[in-house]
Amino acid sequence: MENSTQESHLRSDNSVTYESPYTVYAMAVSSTPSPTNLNHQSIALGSFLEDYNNRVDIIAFDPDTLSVKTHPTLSFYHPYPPTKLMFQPNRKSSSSSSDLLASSGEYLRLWEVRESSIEPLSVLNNSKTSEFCAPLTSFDWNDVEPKRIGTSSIDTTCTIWDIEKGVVETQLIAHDKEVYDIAWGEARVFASVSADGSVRIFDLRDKEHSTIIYESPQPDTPLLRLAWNKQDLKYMATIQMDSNKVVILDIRSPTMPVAELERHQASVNAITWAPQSSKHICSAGDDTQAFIWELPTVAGPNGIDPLCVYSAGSEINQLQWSAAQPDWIAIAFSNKMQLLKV
Amino acid sequence: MATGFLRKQLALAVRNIQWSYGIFWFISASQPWALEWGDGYYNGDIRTRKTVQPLELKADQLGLQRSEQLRELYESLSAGESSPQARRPSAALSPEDLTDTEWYYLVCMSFVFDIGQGLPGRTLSSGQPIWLCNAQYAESKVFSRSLVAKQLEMVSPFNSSDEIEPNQPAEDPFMIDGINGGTSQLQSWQFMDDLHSLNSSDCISQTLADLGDVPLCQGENGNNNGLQEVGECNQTKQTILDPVNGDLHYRVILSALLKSSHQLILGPHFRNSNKESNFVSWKTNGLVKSQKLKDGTPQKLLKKILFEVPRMHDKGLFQSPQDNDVGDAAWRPKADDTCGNHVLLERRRREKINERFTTLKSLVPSNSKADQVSLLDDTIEYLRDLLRRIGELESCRELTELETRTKRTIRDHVEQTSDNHCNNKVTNGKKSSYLNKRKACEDINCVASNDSSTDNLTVRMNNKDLTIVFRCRWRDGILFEIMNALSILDLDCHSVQSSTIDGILSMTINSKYKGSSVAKPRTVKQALQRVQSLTFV
Repeated sequence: MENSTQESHLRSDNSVTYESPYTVYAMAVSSTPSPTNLNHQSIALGSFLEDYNNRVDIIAFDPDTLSVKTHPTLSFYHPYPPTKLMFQPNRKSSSSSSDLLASSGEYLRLWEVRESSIEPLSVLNNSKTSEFCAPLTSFDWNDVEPKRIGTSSIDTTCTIWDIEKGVVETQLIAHDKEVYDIAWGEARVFASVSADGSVRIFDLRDKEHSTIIYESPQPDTPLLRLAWNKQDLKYMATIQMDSNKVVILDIRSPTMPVAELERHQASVNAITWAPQSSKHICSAGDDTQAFIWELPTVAGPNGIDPLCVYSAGSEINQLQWSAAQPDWIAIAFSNKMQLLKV
Repeated sequence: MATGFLRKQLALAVRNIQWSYGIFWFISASQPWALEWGDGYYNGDIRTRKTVQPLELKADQLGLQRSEQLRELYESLSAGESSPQARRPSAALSPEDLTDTEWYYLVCMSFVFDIGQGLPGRTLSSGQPIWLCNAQYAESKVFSRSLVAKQLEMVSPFNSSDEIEPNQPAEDPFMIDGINGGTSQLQSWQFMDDLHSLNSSDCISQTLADLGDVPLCQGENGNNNGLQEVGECNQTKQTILDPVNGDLHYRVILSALLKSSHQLILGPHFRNSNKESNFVSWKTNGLVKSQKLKDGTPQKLLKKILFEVPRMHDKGLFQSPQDNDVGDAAWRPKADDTCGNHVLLERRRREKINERFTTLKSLVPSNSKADQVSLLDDTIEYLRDLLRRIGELESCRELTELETRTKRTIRDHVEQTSDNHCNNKVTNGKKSSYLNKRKACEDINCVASNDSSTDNLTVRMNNKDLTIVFRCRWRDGILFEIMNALSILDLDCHSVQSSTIDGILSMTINSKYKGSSVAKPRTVKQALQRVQSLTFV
């Protein structure tokens, strides 16, 4: 029986689709209204082209008219695909009329997004010599301490930057292998996942020690993504390479996951916690589905079922659920970006 | 603070004019020149009544109790974060018991107004009563809680700052009334019969909870339609309240209150009662058939981002931390997993054990059963089997050796007797090698019957078979004489083993009686002893 879930993306009365000229991977939703129009939300899209020249475009989303506008000058070149894009969280709207965007590639770069132009602010490079660099796989902007950005790199280190001064606060050799993702918990606590298959928590007040709170059951299976629940700092979620499970961890009980959400029919690509609720998480994967899960206090015998599901046209690679627009989830699949109403 | 008295006064007033609630705003003790919640009386709709004893209370007492319960709920919710384990008494209200009106009343408890800000503030500063009609349509600038009101689908409120008790003495924390130049404000919500159905989608992007998708229409609460007449609408333009901030306040307060509550108030919001959502409810087994990946690689793009893109930069010329002098500057935190340490050790131990089991499986011809217990059983069986076979093989080998030896001995013996002198040394050498096996041979040839033995001479008889074993001093030609002596006895010596070491001759003779007469062992002994100078040792 033809299920309406198959073609639910055609229900275009509520969802908004933007078709980009190239495959999209990195995506960010601004935390403040667009400087041009207070009702609009800025969304940054990074291309994925296996080429030196890649682009980042900023588009404006209007939730009232359900439309997306592009601006030809709100765009810039990026060397090789940006691995992550992020706007400054909790930016005071009164501070300036511009927004701050950070991108990671071979270095961490900061950009100022103004009404009709984007200015590069700084390139944050920690290597002593000009020849070498340690390319970044991901980064996270601390929302409690907005001058702090933590980056993760394939050289097994995590670097903490003070972006106001443009200097490195500290650098930690976090793992034995490449670090793939990093997430802030509090102002001075962050966690990272790596190809060595472990989730480790670091506290900047005690740089001598880290805590392993989870290791993948098959040794040395990389963990690819990490998400820390900002509403309830006890919980984290992570996904393993080639796995269809979303692993929910409680930092108070290490090594034992609190739940494993196993309803995807192919591997999971992205996870994000709900910005306004501590019990909801969204995941999307290669099975073209995006699930919203509600974590119960007690799990049923057959595992946890999602609350609701959305089917996209192809494998969903990216997922963003912004606190500025808690009713909208942004997904990216092939060359399309879609905003879904929750 | 004469809370009880004030509340009773409020209660009286509110009930008399049949308004839904009344709030007293006090001048804050903590913040100068700011108004905050002082006391209130709630007279509006109640969804769930919770009382300890099912007493019949009068209407006024019910109202007072309700107000008290609402206040307690607010306090417990706002304190909830610091003491999450505190349980509310069973008779206390919990969030889902409240109507929207009650929620509005509750949220009001959190508001603080500066002088000139918001309706209470402006009333205080102007010293004049303010009527606000149709407050739900008022802009946030004028009525800062309009967003709150809208969201809770309040309709057609009336505000008035009005007198209650003109002659109330002015106490410090609060001001009353136009008489003292202060302000007391009564607000009330009024339900009209014809309700405007508000869009729940209004301000949805700004709010957290869509608490009701059913518009309230219990309009039959003894509402007084007569109060529609409008007083002065004093739209004093005081400080313009930033709508965003007011809304933010609401958001912050609600999130703080709701965060501590375990009931997922947001649940209904997500359970897709909202038809506008793009998401479809989950049905077990209602899932679309899995769509085969066009490309075989799972997580293809994600892997490229993490694995390939970093290596695109500088074609992979990146530094290891040591090269970059990072080693000096960087910290290397010691992975402190004492919590999981024993778990990891245990896991490694198990892995080692499993490895060994796999090796064992390859060595032992076991059945196809994969479990470890069967494997161990098979191993035990196999081991026993092997040991048994070893035993058998060893005994077979000894037998073969013995037979070979015996044949050789006879041959040697013949050589020896024919050429005693010359071959002695040679045969000695040969025979000494048999010395090691002598014991075994003796064992094999042992027949237990008719034994007669001394220390150095043993004669055993079994039917017609006779075995003689002895040791004596060797001398030239003694062997010939021994054989002579035995031949007199009519014995057929079919097997003779002898060896000489250090002048001691050891002999084992197996013989058979030729004739019918069988000589006793004693006879044999005597015959041997008669051999000249045969000295047994």
